[in-house]
Amino acid sequence: MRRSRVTRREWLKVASGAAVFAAGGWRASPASAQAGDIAIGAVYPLTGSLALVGADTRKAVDLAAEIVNTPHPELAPLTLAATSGLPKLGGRKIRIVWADAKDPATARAEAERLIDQEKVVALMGCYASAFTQTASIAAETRGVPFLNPESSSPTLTERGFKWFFRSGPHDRTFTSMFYQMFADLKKRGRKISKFAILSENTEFGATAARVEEEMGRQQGYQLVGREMYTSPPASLDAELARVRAAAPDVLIANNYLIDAVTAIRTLKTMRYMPPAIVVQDSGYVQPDYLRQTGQDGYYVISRASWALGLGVRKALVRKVNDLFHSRYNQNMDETNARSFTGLLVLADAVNRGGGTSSTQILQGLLTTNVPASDTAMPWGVKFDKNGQNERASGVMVQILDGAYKVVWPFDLAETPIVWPAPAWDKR
Amino acid sequence: MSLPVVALWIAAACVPLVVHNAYLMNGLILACIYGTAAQAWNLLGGYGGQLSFGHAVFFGAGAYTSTLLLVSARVSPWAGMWAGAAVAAAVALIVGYPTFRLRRHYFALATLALAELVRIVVLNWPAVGGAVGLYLPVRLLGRTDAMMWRTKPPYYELALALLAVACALAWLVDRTRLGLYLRAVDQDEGAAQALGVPARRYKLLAIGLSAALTALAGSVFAQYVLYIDPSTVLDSSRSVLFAVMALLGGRGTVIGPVLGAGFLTLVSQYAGGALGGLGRGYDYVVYGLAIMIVAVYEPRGLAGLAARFRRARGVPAVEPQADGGSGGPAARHDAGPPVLDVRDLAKHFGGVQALRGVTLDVKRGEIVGVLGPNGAGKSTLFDCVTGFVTPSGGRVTLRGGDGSLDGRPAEITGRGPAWIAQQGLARTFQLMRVFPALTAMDNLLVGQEHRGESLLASLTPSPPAARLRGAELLHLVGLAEHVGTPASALSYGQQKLLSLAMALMRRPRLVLLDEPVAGVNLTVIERIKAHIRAQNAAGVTFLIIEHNMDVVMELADRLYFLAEGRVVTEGPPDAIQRNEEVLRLYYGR
Amino acid sequence: MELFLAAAVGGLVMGLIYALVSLGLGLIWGVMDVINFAHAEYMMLAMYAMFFANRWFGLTPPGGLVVIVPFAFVAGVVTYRVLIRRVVQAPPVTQIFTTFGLLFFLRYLAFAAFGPNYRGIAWPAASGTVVIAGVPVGGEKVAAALAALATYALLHAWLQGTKTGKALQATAQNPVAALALGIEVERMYALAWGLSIATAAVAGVFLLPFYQASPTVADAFVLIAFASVVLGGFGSLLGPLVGGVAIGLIEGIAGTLLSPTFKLVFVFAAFLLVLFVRPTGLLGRETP
Repeated sequence: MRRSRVTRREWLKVASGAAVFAAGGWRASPASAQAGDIAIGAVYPLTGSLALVGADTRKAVDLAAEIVNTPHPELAPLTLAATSGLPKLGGRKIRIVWADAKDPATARAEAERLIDQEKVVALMGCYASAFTQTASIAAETRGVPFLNPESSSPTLTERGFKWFFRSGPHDRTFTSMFYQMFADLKKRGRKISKFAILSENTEFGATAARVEEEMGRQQGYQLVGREMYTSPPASLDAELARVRAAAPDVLIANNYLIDAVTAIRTLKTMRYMPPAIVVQDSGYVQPDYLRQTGQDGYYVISRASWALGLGVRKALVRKVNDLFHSRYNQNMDETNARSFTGLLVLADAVNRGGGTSSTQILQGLLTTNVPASDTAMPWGVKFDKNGQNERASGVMVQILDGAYKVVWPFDLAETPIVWPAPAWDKR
Repeated sequence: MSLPVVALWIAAACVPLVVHNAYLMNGLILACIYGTAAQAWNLLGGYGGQLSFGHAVFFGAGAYTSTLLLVSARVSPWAGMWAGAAVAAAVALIVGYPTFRLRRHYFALATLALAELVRIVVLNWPAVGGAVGLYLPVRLLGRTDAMMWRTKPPYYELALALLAVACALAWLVDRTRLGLYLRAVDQDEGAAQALGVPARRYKLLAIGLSAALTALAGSVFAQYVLYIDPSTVLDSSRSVLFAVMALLGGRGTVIGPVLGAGFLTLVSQYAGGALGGLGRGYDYVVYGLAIMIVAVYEPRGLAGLAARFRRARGVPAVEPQADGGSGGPAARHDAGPPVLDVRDLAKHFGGVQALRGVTLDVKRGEIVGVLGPNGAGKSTLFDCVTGFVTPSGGRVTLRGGDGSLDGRPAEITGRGPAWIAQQGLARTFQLMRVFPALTAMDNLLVGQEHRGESLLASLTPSPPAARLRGAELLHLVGLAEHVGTPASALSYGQQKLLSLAMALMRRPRLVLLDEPVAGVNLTVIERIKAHIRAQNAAGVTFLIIEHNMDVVMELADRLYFLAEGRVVTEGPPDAIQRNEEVLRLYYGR
Repeated sequence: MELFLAAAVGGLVMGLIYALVSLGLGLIWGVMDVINFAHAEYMMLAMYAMFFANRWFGLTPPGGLVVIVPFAFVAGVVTYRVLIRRVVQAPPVTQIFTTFGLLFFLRYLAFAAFGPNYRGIAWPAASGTVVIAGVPVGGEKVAAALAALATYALLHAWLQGTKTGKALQATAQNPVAALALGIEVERMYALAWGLSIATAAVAGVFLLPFYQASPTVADAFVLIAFASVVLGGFGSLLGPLVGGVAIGLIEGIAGTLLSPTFKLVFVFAAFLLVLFVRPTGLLGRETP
């Protein structure tokens, strides 16, 4: 009697174990591949709350891969555009293998899977700093190069990793731009001494807020308010009421999309507009932001590692965006422009390394020296000893007339900055 | 544990020798870690019936404590994880104490609110990492003393060992008195307390163990993933995950959480991998459906299907002893001091005065009856005496409370029901209460001697003496062949007899019976009367509420007549029967 | 002082909205002692329905009400008939898990059908600002608060004034007696579910203009809805109303004056306090 019960339990356990092994076996066969192509892994949030970003990234990276693989002489001197495939590797094409980074643990597991089973030669990812942190650990322990185009947390390149590279700028670069701009504006007679912060409180916002506060204090500004909230917020009434009571000269904000829209709407209801709102892109640069706030969303100033307005002075920016637009019927944005560039940098490194082994690609990355003229960004690429692109920087754009116009540095500006922003009744 | 099960665990431990696929290993490691947490949840929610939707608090406590100790004080996680377990257990006890007296739904909501509260606080607390979270020092990879390795197999073995410990604990609970008591408390807490089971103590033990084990899983998780933040270890989705794993696999069983964890982790990993590009959460839609189906049709989940083939445990046949009673010298109508002494007992519920100063006593060896119309306060009287309701005034004293017949009196006014029951007082209820899902024998075992039963002792099976006593009583009341039948399958009369036997389990001095023959046929009435007489002859004192006049007149030595919360009159049965006021109050004449 | 007033008015308006979300939850809880963990998911689905009604037919909340609420009522009845009916007599554990599974199912159905993106609509007619006690409040929120009051008033009138309403009250107080009196308890339960989901739909419809819809939107409201019902107490319709307003005020005032970051902490702390000290709630007459 007892034995039969145990036997059945045992059976169940064996059955589930067998199912597991079977599943493992099934999974083991890699996706179909063209002979000779070079697999590059891309780990991004394809589902969940960041899925929109993941989808946009995918568009940009897939386009970049296509540009590498097929001749696009009209885009020269963009890296690897004119040629077909990787010239130094006999024209072999690259193939992007996508994986979903749902949470930090999964990001790492997926990275491992891409390396072990899909046999990718290098990885890129993951937009959100938390995912990048763990996914890159997988690459580091296996000795595979990992290129991060978009995450902004400074700590990523402070870990002493050998295989980790970041092609885009990080929080310190961005935030220092804020204060440089403030300094320039003060020289032109604007009064800026008190600042307040409105930030969401996950990795992105909390890290940025910390850097903003540190730098602000260092440069002698007075912090008069620091409101952290959980995204998405039911309301920002309390936070913004307190900001208004503090009367800052500039409100620095780290908000995701919903938060940004909520903030603007709340400000409008309150009939309060700080002299300037300066933001760390994210929510404010997504297309939906303007769609939802319309004119109310104007005058916000954001840092941008890329801006459509750059196309006025730099043809390559315009041409790449035109191609993207013709393909997807939307413009590129600041985030996926970095992803686009990231893939090109990686492909370039593989190409110059001369082979697909990890050490060869690592050499390629270490010797990267792409001039700004060969990118669709306002900057070039050269990695310092921490793997950080020392040339990465950005510009400040302001939302005016429904577009993101470059307003700083003043010598790159396409239109004069509007500071202070007009009050609600004067619009 | 039997050989095949041991062999299975050994086989599981050998998995890394065969499997080299890191992706699969990742799934197995997470399955073991989550399985441990699910098993821990099962201790409280499966056996204890207290659903917690805030178990992430304990998972996070473990992860954060061991990680903080590692990062800031270089304490090895091997030690740190126990600190985490202690923290979690402390939080559990602090939370459990006030919330366990709430209804099931409230406990679930309270745990949910608490977990969210803690998450928000941690999220905004830079000293513990805040929103940014904590990164474990990657430079320590490869050092076993730091519980960090570069490859997966050591993590797997550790997680598997932890899961084995969790299952061993669950198996222990399942087989021992703790499991029995928890299940009884789950099914009917009041009835368990009436049998002397200190319900809160065992629930606290369950939540303490559950929390500690979950914390250990959290520590191992941190060591494996190398990054923790509030959204990964303190989020409500984590709490829900553990609960769902235990539920789908089968709560209240040992293998349930393991099945649930294995199934959910591996399926979601592979479904996620396969549907990665689609990723619209189709798998969760299926889980939602599965949960609803399981909840409605087979609450015991996957394991429940297996348990349907379960056969009852055998019990040795016993020779019924000549007396099933207290074994002391029989002494009826002893003129000594009363066993139960009730003075001026009063109780009001809001504006309703249920008892207005009731005074009565019961002498050793007597059978005293309590009569009265409905609403007279008879059941309230019982509830006050047995500790289910706190009196608003008056005193209740039990003599012989220290275990000897001529012992000093103990005042029991306002004490808890379990404690009072342990002083030698037993009761049955007007709306008869047995434990429906427990077998007849288990029902009796819930009523075994609890005085002096330590927490450690509860982790052992019921002593043979208790089983013997239980078998005796089953023979006595004619339910011997139903030893393994769940109480819900017995007829009303059989359940009535069972509840009588349960009350006698601990050889009580005084038994309070609330309408012992209500709702049963004449045969059963006769049998119950015979049992009462036999027990009384063996020295057990009875206080009985009953409406059945024939029974009362036959059995009782003395009667009290209660009306409107007061003793109207008392005396021998024949006197009461002729009393004018009684007649008026009872029959309206 | 100005800050306090802004906080109080804002809190009151939000509180009325919370009260509307909690109404249906309290109704079912009170009538049949079942806690519907999936209540807010229905509100979420109503928000999506409003979104599509706006996108395809250009409807705004008043129009959306007319179209969506009847559907919601039917959905509630169907949910009862298909699922809840089977677990009314079951132990609390089973009930909890059933509605939990329902939560999962509905939420991820929304994920699968609509994707994770946030959706909002604009409601030009209500987009102005209303000044209450000198505090400007967004028109959409005021409309939602008014809808809340109207819903409560209507339901109250119906419960007291109609035969069916009285029958529902009787069922809530004592189903056995109600049955003995010839009231079809089954129909009352189905009716309660229909009403409950219908009120959730009203909440969703009016929420959308100022609060974006996503499959996880229920998270922000579920605990608050429970807290409102518990805080307000059982036994009457007024319970969730008082509870919701109380929660809104606590969140608004404590949040603004003390710390917005921890506003939910204040709400949960108040909730736990009430649970430990007075589980019957502020207005409660019965033991829970």
